Amino acid sequence: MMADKFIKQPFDPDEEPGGAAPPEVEEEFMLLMSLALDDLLDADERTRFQAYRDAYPGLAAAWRSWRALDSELRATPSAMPSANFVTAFEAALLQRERRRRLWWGAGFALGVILLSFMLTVGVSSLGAFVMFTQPAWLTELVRIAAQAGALVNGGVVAVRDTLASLAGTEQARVFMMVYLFAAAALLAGWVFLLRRTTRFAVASRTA
Amino acid sequence: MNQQEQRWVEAARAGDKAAFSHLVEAYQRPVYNLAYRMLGNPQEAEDAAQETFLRAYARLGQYDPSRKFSTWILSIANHHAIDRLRKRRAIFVSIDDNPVLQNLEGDAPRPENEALAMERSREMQALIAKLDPQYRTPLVLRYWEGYSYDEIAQTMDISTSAVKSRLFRARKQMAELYRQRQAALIPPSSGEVQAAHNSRNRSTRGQEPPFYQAALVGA
Repeated sequence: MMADKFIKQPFDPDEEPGGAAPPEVEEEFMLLMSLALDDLLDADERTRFQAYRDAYPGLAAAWRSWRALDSELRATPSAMPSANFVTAFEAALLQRERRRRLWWGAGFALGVILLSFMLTVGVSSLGAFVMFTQPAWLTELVRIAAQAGALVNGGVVAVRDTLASLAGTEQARVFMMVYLFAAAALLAGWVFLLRRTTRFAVASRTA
Repeated sequence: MNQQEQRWVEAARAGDKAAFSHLVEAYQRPVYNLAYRMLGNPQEAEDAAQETFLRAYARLGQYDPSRKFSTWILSIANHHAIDRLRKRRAIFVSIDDNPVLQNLEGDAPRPENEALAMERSREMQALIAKLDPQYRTPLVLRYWEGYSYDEIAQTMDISTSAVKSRLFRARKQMAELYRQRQAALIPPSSGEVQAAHNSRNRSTRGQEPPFYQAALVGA
């Protein structure tokens, strides 16, 4: 136990009781008092503790004082928080999470802006580099692109003209009429079925 | 920690805020009590207690389930209170605000026992506020939470021997402060009263032990 580290004065039962306790005894006794309040004295310490109290009334008085203080502390009630503590905590937690999300959002937005800026700068720099160091190659590339564009445009015009001429034929007109008639019939049938189903549902609900 | 609290902890770790609110309700008193005993100011203690739970919620992922939740949360409360004390230039001891009975409402005259409890609480807090912060924590955990030395050691992250030492020093300081308070309550003009007081506290044959006069500093 902790008290062991102090020098234990040999207890002399023949010594006249009532005198002032030596400093080492006082110090040991105070340690024993602290352990006694927590009921942590072993048998040997308990014996010494009792002997000191019997031998030195001053120490006995100190023990009474410590016990009185101990009683007062034990009798002192806990401090209580406010009645809305939990509610206040929930509100504070919500606020903190909102703030955290705000910071994350701002950080993310900043990151995106920074990345976009770097991308723009990078692409512009690369473009400028290519333009100034590879002009012949760039020219050839533009020429090929223009040729490809003209080719695509020619194809689109050809398809358009073909479709227009086909639409002008008698067969195309008949096909379109049949298609329109079938679509109208399907639509009418669907509306009829929908109205019938709705009427049935309302009737069963009122029943 | 009972099974119900264990379930709340597990649910809270999985992200259930309602479960953590239950834990706040269960532990608000000990956390607030510790904060108040350390800081001495009800409003600051409330802020510190709120911050403790916010930090605990943020650190739930770091909580070790093999450890008691109460020691973990009180450990956070203790560290936070000490940080606040370090940042303060002066220690404010509010002996007029008493959160012990702050839930009483109205101006109705209080029963005598409640008034006595309030007075006792105020006086004890005034004594505790004079202790070194490292000695306050073991005192609070021992007397108000009934923690064993091992539990206090776990909460404060120190050894059990250190707990014994700090508790001893806390009691020694408190005893001296308590004695001074008792002596101050006795009117000096009454010689007979003084003599009677002396006879109760001193040896009839020997002198008053020197440790009664020990200085607080370094005690």
